[in-house]
Amino acid sequence: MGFSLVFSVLRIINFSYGSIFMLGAFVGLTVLGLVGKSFLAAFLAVVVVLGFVGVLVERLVVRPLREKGAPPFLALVSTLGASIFLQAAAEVIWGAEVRGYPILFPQQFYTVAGARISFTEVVTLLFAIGLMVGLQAYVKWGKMGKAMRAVAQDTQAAALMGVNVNQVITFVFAVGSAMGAAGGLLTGTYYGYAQPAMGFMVGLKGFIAAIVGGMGSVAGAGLGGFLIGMTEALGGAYISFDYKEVILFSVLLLVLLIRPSGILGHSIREKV
Amino acid sequence: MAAASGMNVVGALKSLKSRSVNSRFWPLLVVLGVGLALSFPLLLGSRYYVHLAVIWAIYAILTLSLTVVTGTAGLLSFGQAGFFGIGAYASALVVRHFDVNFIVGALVALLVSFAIGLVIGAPVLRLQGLYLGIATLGFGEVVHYIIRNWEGLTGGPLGLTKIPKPVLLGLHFDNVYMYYGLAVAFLLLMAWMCYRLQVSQFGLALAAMRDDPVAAELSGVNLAAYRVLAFAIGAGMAGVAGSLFAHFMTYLNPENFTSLQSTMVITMHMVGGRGNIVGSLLGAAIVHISPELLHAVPTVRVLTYGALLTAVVVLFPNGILGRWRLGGQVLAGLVLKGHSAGLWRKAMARRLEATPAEAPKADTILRVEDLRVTFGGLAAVDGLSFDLRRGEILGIIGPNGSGKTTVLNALTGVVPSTGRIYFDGNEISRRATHLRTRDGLSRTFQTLRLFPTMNVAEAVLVGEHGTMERPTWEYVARLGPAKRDEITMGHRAHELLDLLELTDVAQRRAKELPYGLQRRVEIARALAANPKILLLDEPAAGLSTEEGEELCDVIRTVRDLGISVILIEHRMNVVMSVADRIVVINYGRKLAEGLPAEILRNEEVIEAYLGRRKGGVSHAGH
Repeated sequence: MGFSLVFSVLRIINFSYGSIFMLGAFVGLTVLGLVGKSFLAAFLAVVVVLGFVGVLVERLVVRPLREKGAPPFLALVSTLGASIFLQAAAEVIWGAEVRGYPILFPQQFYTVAGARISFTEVVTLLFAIGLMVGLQAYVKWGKMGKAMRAVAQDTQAAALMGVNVNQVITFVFAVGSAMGAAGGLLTGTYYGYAQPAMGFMVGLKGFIAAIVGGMGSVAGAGLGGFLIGMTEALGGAYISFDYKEVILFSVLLLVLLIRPSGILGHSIREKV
Repeated sequence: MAAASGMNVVGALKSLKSRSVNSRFWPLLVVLGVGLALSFPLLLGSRYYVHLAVIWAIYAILTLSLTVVTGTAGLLSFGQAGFFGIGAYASALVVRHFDVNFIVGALVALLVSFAIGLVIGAPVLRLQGLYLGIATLGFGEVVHYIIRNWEGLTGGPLGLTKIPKPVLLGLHFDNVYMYYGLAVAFLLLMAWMCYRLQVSQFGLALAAMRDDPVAAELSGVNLAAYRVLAFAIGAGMAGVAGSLFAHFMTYLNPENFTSLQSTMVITMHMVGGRGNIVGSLLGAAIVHISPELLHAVPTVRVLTYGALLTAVVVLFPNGILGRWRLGGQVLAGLVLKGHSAGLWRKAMARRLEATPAEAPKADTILRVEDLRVTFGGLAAVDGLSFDLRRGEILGIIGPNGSGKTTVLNALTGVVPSTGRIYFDGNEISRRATHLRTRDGLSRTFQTLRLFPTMNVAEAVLVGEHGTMERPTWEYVARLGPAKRDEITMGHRAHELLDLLELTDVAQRRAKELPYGLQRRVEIARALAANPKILLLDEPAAGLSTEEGEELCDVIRTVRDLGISVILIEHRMNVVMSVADRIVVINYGRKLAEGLPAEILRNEEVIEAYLGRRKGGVSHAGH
């Protein structure tokens, strides 16, 4: 989702998300160690700290390129560098091994329509949905959200209308990173562990989710994430566990060939 | 310290960039480079570094493959590691099972990767930009998982072992020094092929496609076919790199071929300088070797590596060798060296005589019937019909937004339209854009569409694409007749540069020229396709009065050569002075048609231009 947000505004792909996601899990772990089992405290700390890291990434790695008028796909490489850096930094601080997560929520189970659902699952799901809906609403109605869309559609015109473009972009990175980090925290809580290497594949899949759903559409990113999770789970269960990634990428190729701009994306035709 | 010496190297490279490299010194540079590369391992002393150097050479070939696909053709591929893996396993399996020579393995790797590149490319290359990148990334991952899970063929996660070392001409390449020589030989071969491609008409068309697909298509380039071909060539090169890798390591592991390797190759390509051959070698060296040279704890090493990578990209957005392009200089040099003995005029004369026999003798070259173009619910062109007579200049005028440019877009097939268009008696309404250019329909653009990375000579050469008659593969291989064709094209380009008085600026980047000259480059490019009809879209826009008069002379010269012209123009004085006949359109419909003098007196036309007020129109700008 964070991907989609940044992409829609800047038309760039931020590879550092995977690492920020992973850092979210680790910062959360550290905070939980310091203040005890308070999910809310961990959430707030993660959002603030990694929102700030996101701003740093934008300032140091993305903005210089933008100011030099470099083609947007270059940011892909510079954020990839940042991602490698962040992951290595995490290994220096927390070590390369898998770290266990404390149990935050009561081990309670509910039975809904025959399926057993844990309390943790309910919290994770509700939190994820809440974040998505909140973000969607903000982009749609909030003042900054409007500015974001303006910058996304025509950066120059937005600047001429008095929108502080740099401020908007920084904000987008902060919010996007905070969302990604919250995702990391939720994942850590849900699966019960964190590991520096967990970011890369997640970054990739988040990216694919954004593409499948339609780049630049926050709702699309949510839908894409859902589809990818389902494809992987169902493909792994019913077709072949060994080939679940193959199935996933085949679905990706298929979606792209049928709808080159993703399910909820709009195609842009060049003017002659 | 390290940073300071790094800056020195960069400074030296920059000064190299600013000097124009004389093409005569090029062979000398190559010899020097080869000597240096071959003696390099002796300087290193340690086998470990030689091992590193071999891997560098292999990655440099992979990076070169991206130089073709992404650097030259502009197709973002994140799947090179996939082709790298296919090549590695194909070669290893063939050599191991059939006990054949390494060269056979390398050839199999080349062909298999190339073929898979064609098959994958055909559907996937309908996507563009980052979407293409993701699709190819997906492809790479699929290859990785297939390698990992198809245990019967590839040995699965445990890997493939006992791959034989190459034996060539009685030489056993079983020590690391020998293998380094082999890898460098392959690297040089690939670099040379890349260079040949970049200075060929085919390579130039790929670059045109990257710079501006619309303008390339209108220069007669078959975008779909060229995209797939460029992609497959890159795939084949990556396959060869894979073969070298397999027989060097003698052991293959699926984890050698993941998206991590693909992103690494992209990074090498971008760090060195996009589309730059020397830059590819340099980028591979920086990205691959630098982390090894940082003697430090592994994690700190990766940390530094990440920081370094980011720093290089941020400091040099265009790559270290940046926009330095040797190919352009060489091509412009060749064009200027060529004589201009009227080959273009001869080719034009032949073209204009060769009117199809079944065409009615009537002197109509282009007939447009009931042309309609709609955007959403709005009809931009609404049932327009007109004729263009052979050898005339037809002016099409109309107020802003009256649909003039849309008419040209419909004629060239850039926007879909209904109605009928007959060109030399044949209906072309459904014909692909690049084929219309080949038929003899050339155009210029109201908003200039010159290829931003190209010099003037190159732009004209791209324009000649529509005249290439031999099969595409001959131009890719540049064999006999195709090579001769290229030389003739150089001569013709020189003649066109002379005709439009652009010879002096032939080596300058087209986009950096004064506006009036840029307009002329566009006309030269359009004429290079040997058109029967030239469509000019507001060629006088933004020109000074003087430049406007020069333009009128150029248009008359074109007409006198026998080319029919459709001139869309806002500036009345230009249209009135050169047009033989004028069609006035408004709201996509024909308002009036006639001789310039008649149009000037036409009440309806005056009303459309100036509202209900009556008055002189002869110099009205709008």
